[in-house]
Amino acid sequence: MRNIIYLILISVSLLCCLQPAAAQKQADTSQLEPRLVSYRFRDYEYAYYTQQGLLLQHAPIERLGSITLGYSYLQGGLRARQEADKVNVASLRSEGLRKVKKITLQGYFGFTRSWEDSIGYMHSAKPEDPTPYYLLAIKQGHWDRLHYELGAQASTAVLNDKLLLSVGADFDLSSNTRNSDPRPEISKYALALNWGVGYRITPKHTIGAWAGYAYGIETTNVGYSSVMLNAAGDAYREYQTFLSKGFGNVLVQRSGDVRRMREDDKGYRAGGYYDGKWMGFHTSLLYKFQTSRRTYVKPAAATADSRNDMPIASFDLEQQWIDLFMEKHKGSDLLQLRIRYNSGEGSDYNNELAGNNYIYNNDNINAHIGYVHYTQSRPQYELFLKGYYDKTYKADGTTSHRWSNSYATIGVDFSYYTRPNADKRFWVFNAHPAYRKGIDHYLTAPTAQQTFFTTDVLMPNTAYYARNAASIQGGIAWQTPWKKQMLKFGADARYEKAADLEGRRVNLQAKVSLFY
Amino acid sequence: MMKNYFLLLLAVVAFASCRKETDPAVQPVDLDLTISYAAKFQAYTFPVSDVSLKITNLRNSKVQEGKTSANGTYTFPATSAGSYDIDATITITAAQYEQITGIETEADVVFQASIKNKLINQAVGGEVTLELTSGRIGNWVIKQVNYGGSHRANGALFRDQFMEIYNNSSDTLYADSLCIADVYNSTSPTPDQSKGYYLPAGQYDWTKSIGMPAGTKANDDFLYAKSLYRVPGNGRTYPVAPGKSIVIAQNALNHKAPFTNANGVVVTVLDPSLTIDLSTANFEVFLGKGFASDIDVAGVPNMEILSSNGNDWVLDNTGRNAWVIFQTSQNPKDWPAYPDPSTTIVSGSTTMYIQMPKAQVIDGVETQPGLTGQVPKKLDNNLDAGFTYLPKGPYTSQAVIRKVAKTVGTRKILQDTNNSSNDFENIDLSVPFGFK
Repeated sequence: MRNIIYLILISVSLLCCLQPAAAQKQADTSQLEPRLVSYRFRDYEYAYYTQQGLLLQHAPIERLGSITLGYSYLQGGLRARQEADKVNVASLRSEGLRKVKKITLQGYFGFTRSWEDSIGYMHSAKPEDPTPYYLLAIKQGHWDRLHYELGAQASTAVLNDKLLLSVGADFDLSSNTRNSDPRPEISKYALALNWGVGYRITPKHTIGAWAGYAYGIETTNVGYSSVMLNAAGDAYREYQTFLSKGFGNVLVQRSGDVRRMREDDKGYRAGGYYDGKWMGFHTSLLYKFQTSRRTYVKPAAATADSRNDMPIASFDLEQQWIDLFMEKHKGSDLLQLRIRYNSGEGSDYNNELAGNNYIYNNDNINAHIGYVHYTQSRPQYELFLKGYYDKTYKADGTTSHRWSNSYATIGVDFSYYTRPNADKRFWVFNAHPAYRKGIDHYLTAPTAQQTFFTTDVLMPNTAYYARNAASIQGGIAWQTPWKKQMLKFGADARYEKAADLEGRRVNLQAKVSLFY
Repeated sequence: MMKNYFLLLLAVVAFASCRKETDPAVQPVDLDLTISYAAKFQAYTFPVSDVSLKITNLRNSKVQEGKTSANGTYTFPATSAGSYDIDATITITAAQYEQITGIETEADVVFQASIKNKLINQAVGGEVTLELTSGRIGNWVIKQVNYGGSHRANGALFRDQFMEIYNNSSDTLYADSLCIADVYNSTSPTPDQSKGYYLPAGQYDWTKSIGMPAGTKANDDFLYAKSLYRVPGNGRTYPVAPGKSIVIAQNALNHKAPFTNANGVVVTVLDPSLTIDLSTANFEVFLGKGFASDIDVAGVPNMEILSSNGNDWVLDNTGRNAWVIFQTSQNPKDWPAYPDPSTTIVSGSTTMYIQMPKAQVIDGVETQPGLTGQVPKKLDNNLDAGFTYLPKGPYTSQAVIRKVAKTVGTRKILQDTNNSSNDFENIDLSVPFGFK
């Protein structure tokens, strides 16, 4: 498996590295810089235009390639109840984009290895996921996680550039284990495919649409090395395995149950977009729709034969995105705007209760407006004003629990690039202060329906998500040419403190990147 | 121009924050309970009012209680959807019972009804009828069972398991021919009904057993023994006075002290406080199959082996048990035996389970792993309408012991409502021959 991954990594990197001999001879400093230097505004361009293969045809990026090794350390008590107190992550990421004649290719490969301490109340590879169905234990433990992701997409224009075609695939694989009782093993893989067609109405205006299909499986198996804890009664409550079946709805899984669950996730996705010149701005407007049905199955008998697995519930999640991206050169400077709205609606079907028991709603808006100032045809500083708004609602019928939380975050992201001489070796300084304001929140949980999960998780989480907090993030990087490529050494630090909660959260990162 | 985009942003924020908060389809249900008496008691006018009702939510163990009105009904309003244990009980005093039935009785008579793991939701509805019944009065009762064992490393593991049977009557009884049986049935919490040999509630359908005569009420009238042991004697060898008991041990040893096992190895318990002294047990079970902990203690009579399971009399320490006791002049070895319904071919190595008439049963007790994760019930309501369990779990020294209903002079009368959920309580360290 590892050799195959290395082969893919090299292939993806080479794909974006290779260029015709004629183009190599013509390379000069002005052509090197746009693709070799990592600017904030370019990161945002890349993030938007690589969402879907058709959008690659409109990306203001001719070519980009990078390999990054990174290490991250996150620590602090200011966290949600089901999050880790300490997280160490080592990562390797390679990605690239290039246009070969009329075909635009984009690909990526990512690998992360993470170590997470003091996670309790959840055995899951996705703690922020809206699904209510997962196994858990009170006892905190240390997790080892491996995550691989791989994707590629391509698009082209045919019929005198009138007709655009795209195809794309993404693959995700992860393995998560815990090394103390109870000992869950979570394996997940997911595959997504999509196809798109676009039409260039005029040279300046294009519309397009795409469709796709995604499938994934996540299995959780919980074992015990201690026979006593495996058969533990309430005397060892924190070692017992529970099944969450809603919001505050948890059921103990005793030794007679087989502590295993599988999630089958199938879904469809579709979308459309417009790209063109409008009021002087390069404007791109995108709409995405995604459905997912997750079916949860558990063993029907203590024999643990998977052929006896029976469905216990399903969870349907529908999500929509509206994404607006605009850019305009004002003189030699650049204006950039992005507003992204996401809406999610989820509901389950609980087989035992023969009905919908759990509801999840989420709306969030992410927006930024940025100004890039150029000096001598090179960006000298970037100033972004960023805002985020989120509202989430959860409800459980059988426990009569209701939870709602909304908050907004506003921040400034400033980056400064030093260009003291002409050899393109320079420093980058970045500062990103932000403030999070809780707007509205409540948790209703009748006393008769409360469980340990209500008091140990939901109540503390309500205070956490409703927090008013300030954060400051700062970074420094040094970029230097190296054999016609560019090396970047960077470090970032982020500190968050809440006004009305104890604890803090610190995140430190270091990266080495090669741009080519 | 930028102003237009800010207005757009504000409009999107306003839209996003105005989503209506909806409720799930699953909603609370009014649970309407109606009680009546079993057919054999309907000739009498027993009261339907003031019957005590209790519902236990199996998810969060919350209990709600009430009493029936004059017409025998009661409503628990706005009950959360989910699975519940529903219990009803009423105690008829001895004088009242004699007045209603004309039958003299020494102790009060308890009628009870119980429905386990009942799903309540809008689709199923909330109307439930409970049928009150009462079992035999007096006689032998199972008083105490230590099935959980003690600490695996520091205690006696499962070696200190025992059962105590008590004379709950006012007369001397003889233990000769008293039989104890481990009842056998399916232990799958969610059996595959497509197999065709399960009852709707998950127990085996013994009518499907190979060799079962057609027309036999194989489930209604009989139980099936995983193991069956009998007290020896000539009929008057082992008298047991009123308020006294016999203890049947797996190994009649002082488990606090070192002992030599069947392999000649001296075994020492690291923490004697976790286990008990069974050296005064009246009987023990010895199978003689060479199992290391199966000791034949000198001077302790062995139970007669009518049917055995495994290498020793090891009770399921997680709690998937049911035991019955009976006393008969018949020889249970002459009773028919059948394979479990999942068996498709009977050979010389097929396990056969002795078929025991329910009518012979004097007392029965059922245990479960806990309030959740239960296995299909082995005993019907006439034998045990409830179950007991070990909250601390197995290997914790905890045991189950019957409650004392009253004391007459120096004799204790143990509670026997044929519902071990009510009749039993837990004891952190069992006390052979003692009381909590």
